[in-house]
Amino acid sequence: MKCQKCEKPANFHITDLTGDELLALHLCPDCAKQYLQTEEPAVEAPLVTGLLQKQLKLEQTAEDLKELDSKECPVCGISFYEFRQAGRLGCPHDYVFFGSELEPLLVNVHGDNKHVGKHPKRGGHNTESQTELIRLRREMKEVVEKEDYEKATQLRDRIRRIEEEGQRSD
Amino acid sequence: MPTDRAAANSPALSTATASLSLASGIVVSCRIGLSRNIAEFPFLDVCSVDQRIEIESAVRATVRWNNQIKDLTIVDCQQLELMEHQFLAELEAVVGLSNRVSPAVTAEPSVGTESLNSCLIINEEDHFRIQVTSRNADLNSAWDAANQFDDELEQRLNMAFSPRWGYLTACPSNVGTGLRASVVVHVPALMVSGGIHELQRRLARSNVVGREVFGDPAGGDFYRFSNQATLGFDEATLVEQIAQIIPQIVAAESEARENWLTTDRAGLQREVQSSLERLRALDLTDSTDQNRFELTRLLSRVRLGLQLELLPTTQTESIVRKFELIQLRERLLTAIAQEDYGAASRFRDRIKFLSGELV
Repeated sequence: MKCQKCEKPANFHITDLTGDELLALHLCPDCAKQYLQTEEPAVEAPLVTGLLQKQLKLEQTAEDLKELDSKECPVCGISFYEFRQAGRLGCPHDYVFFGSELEPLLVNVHGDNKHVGKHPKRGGHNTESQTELIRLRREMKEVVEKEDYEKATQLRDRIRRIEEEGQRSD
Repeated sequence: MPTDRAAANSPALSTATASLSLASGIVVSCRIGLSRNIAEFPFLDVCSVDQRIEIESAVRATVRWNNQIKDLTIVDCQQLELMEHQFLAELEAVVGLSNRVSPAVTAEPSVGTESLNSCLIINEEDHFRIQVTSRNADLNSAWDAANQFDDELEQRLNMAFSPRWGYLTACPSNVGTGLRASVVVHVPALMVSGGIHELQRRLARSNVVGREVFGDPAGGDFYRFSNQATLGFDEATLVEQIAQIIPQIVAAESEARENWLTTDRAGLQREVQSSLERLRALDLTDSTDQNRFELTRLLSRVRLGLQLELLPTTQTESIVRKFELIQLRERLLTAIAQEDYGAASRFRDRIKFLSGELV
């Protein structure tokens, strides 16, 4: 394949994320270098969205990215697309659900990938049940909007049971 | 990873550093911020209004329940206009710590010793942020206080935490310790000489980033330096990274000021004098960005003039009054957000009195 900007062979395949539409670019090393350099000179741009853009550009094809973008967290419902636009995640479970995409990003931002600081003293609280609570509350809200109050009652009782169990184990 | 803990644990050294920095007036304030989220709720972007209210109630109940922290100031970002609040809070620090400018206005610390001011900011980017500001550039004491508040809050609240990634935050750039240690410095001479860029480049190598405090596109004279990474270092190391750079910044700015005075004392004298006159004429109630940038630029020159003794304090008294008004407005907003209507009524009366005097 030839470079889209000159006649040299294209061995860089870049996905441009700046517009609304994903744009696939095939460039030679020189044109690719120039293309990647001219963009995002601003240091002040939100760190996370900028770095993420660079990372995805080099690692993903347009098709892969489209698929990744539509991935939705089952707990909070945020899609990967929404995350990379806002630079903010939807819930604690996203760190697990989008883990493989987040890992290189975190290394990029922090230069490290392991927490070495303080731990909560009152450890041992059940992360799974808390994630479950977030999911159930979201589901309850959805069924209330559909006026399915029977289902909402069931969900409410499940939420209360989990909350009570949590208080007993504290 | 640098783990030079000896310096961090030497209170004598950090006190000496602090007093040195304050004497020059270059260091405006230091603070520690700790971002936290409650495990049972999604992050704020996804929260409904009801959930935000629930989070707020949970935090308020925890604070009230605990005698150690029951007087902690709670700032709810939904009630305060965020930008307004931040601008005024920064401005308070800028005016408040230049001792000679504002001797009349002494802030009442809400918790702890007189040198620390602590508050809890709810529903900003994360569920809450513990923020401790030090009035005498002592970051280690600020961290100790913030850490203690965190421990107390954690007794009742389940923090979103993973052993691998640490404290989980809405933005991945705060994950890990969730800790931001920062120092605001007043560096007009480094801005004029261009030395600020070299300084920024040098500090970037040691996990420190510098940003203009008031967001002035033309570049202002007040800079906030803070740690970039929050993951992979322990808290004491991050605090020390910032504490260490304070003497470097003070030395660089002092040298640039000396140079400025040596090369163009008369020009600088004229500049601070005209800045004072323009500042007197400025409408402080005009909150457009342009006016604010002008305000901070002029304030910077006047502050510099006072510190270099190019302006006599007697000339700045009416300015002090004007700024006292701004600070009172900020504290009135905070009092309302805290539901402390007794304090709100005192601030209202003082504002009326001062406004009458100035007319």
